[in-house]
Amino acid sequence: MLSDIFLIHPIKSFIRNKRLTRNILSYIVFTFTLIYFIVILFFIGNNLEELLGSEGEDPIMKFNSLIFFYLLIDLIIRVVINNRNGLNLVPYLRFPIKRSVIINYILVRNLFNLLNLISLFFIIPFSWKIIYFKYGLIEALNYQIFLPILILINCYIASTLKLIIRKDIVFFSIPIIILISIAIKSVRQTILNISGLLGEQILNSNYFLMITLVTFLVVIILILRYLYSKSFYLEDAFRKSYIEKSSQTHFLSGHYNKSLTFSYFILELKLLIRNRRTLQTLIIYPFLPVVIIMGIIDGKHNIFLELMFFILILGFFPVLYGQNIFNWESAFFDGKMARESNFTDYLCSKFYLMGFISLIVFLPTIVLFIKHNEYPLLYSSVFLFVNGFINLFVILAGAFNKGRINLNEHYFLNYQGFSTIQLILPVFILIFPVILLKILESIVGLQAMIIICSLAGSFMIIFHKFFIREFIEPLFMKRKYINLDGFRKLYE
Amino acid sequence: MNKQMIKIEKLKKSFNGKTALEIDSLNIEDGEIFGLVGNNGAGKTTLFRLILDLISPDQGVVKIDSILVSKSELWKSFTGSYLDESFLIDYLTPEEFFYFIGKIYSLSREEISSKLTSLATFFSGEILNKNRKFIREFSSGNRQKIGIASAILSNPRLLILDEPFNHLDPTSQSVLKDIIRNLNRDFKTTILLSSHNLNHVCEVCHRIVVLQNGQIVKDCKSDNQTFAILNSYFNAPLS
Repeated sequence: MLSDIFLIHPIKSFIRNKRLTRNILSYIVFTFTLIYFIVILFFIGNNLEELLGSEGEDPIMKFNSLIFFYLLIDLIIRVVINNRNGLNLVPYLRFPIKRSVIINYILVRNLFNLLNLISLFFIIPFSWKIIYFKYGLIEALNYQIFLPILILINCYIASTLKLIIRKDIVFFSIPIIILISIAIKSVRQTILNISGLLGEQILNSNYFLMITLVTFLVVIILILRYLYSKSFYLEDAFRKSYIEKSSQTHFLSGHYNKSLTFSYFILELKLLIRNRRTLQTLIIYPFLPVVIIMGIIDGKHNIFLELMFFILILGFFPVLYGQNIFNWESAFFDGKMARESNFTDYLCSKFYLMGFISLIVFLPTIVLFIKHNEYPLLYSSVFLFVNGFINLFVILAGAFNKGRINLNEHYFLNYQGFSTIQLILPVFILIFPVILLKILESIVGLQAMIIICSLAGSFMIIFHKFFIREFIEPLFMKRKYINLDGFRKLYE
Repeated sequence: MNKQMIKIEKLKKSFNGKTALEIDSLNIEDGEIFGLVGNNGAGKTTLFRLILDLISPDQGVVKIDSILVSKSELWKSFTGSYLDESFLIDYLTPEEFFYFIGKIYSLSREEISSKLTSLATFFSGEILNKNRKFIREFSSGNRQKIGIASAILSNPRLLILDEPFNHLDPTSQSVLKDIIRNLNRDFKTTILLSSHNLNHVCEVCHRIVVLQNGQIVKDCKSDNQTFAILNSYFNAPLS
């Protein structure tokens, strides 16, 4: 019976995952990504000597000095993306299964967390290829035992933090990461030294340190076990994040009789900020100033590479939000299509929202560009181009989506509603403009390119309603029944 | 007087500072069919969740067969329940789900098959042998049937069903009423159920409690007058 819960059910849950079973392409992408990362990590582990020791430094010392940074990044990733429990526990709470058994299961299952496993793919080859040959067997084994212990400590600390915080911190993570990065920058050398010392002590079989690490691991597991036992109730399993606490926006009432674009715009804004998945589509924006400050301004740069970054960040929200605009939950569309309303206005409101969000991000950016004299006109023209061409094209592509997307689910690692077009579109949309700009620049020069981009973007923005009415709306109406049927499917 | 199956004392539960349930004392006898009625938000589901130890009370105790539910889990071995769809393991087929539950309650495959056969009328040919159709792919009504069947599979001494008639077609509602009566008659099962349909509650329950704003406002035995009495609490015209 326990093997069913702890082994067979998780496997079935994964294999029969409603997001993966939707199409074979998702499986292929998932498998490919996993293999890709494993190969990359294995490659890194195998070639760390060359990668780290390129400037005549000892690669092991360099590796040691980076342990803390690795652990920090690992911790942040775990806190942001890991689920609180590895298994949906609600169905099991009513059965005569001891809670302590389930808690122990959760703790053991943490051991097999993907992040724990993938770290082994570079730790093991690094230990055997470099440590073993330079120091010997004991030192290599020390590395292979105590680095995973450090990672396990990280793993359980992340679970403990998740349990204590009890908030959906994905959205807050970026400002937190920026603050941590700034804080670390000031004490970087100290951290490098301490980290190097830690690695050195592991290498030198400092048993006091090893016992301390093991003791710390046991203590953190016991703390986590205690916290689980105290919080193991349905209200915790169902505990809502701050976003979920605000009522989900089905927005079927009241506003339709107005039939005004502005009303739709307000509704779309509510949809965006009151639902977890839509809100997470905004996550990229706090990165924009960071990228601009660190990457573009005052750097030695390649203008087109930077333009690509700029378009990537500016276009990220339209790609994430805009291409899914038709397939957020089904009830809205059933209600929408059953009422007499102006579909063009409705689509325009989405176009305005995309532009509005881009503008909010762009305004502080352009101030920085002007201040640092970094081609403000070029970036302004690209802004117009993105908001004219890309946003309309994204909405057009959205008409091909026919998978339901639940608004309150996580965005990350969630393939619900994803089909082939979602995989191809971002690459196309974000790379195509750069290629186009490059071609334009090489033919007509930078100044002319700026003018052409500005005019083209402005033209599309001015005549957006025409394009929406003449191209996007008819396309959606043509696919209406296929799409609506797809939106209703709960399991897709 | 029958033995008490459920004993509740000074039970209180609040959510965000608002009292959702406050019951000074409530006893449910062994072998009783106990109905709970009340408007949305009256506290019906909260009461069931507290009884099943799915949420922790702010104060007070719940005992099932003299076992303090928060201290021991022994009561789960003779309790069947279905509150909502989160109780289902939706990536399993109904057969896998039923056999898994059977395993938990130490039932043999023959016993499970026999029980499922006896539920054939309730399932009306819609649940079993559906060629690897997962629970999540069934309609709401059929998922409700799967959940109810999972609760009664082990012939529990205590059965708790939250709004079991929801989503069911009229035929299935009628069959479910028979199932509830038969379980109570044949196995002396104590049954707690809630419903918004006063007719259903009056038809099957021995005793009915009305909850309003988390408090018991009426506790009565079911008889010819009960429907009218209950109706008066909900300001609805007599049908």
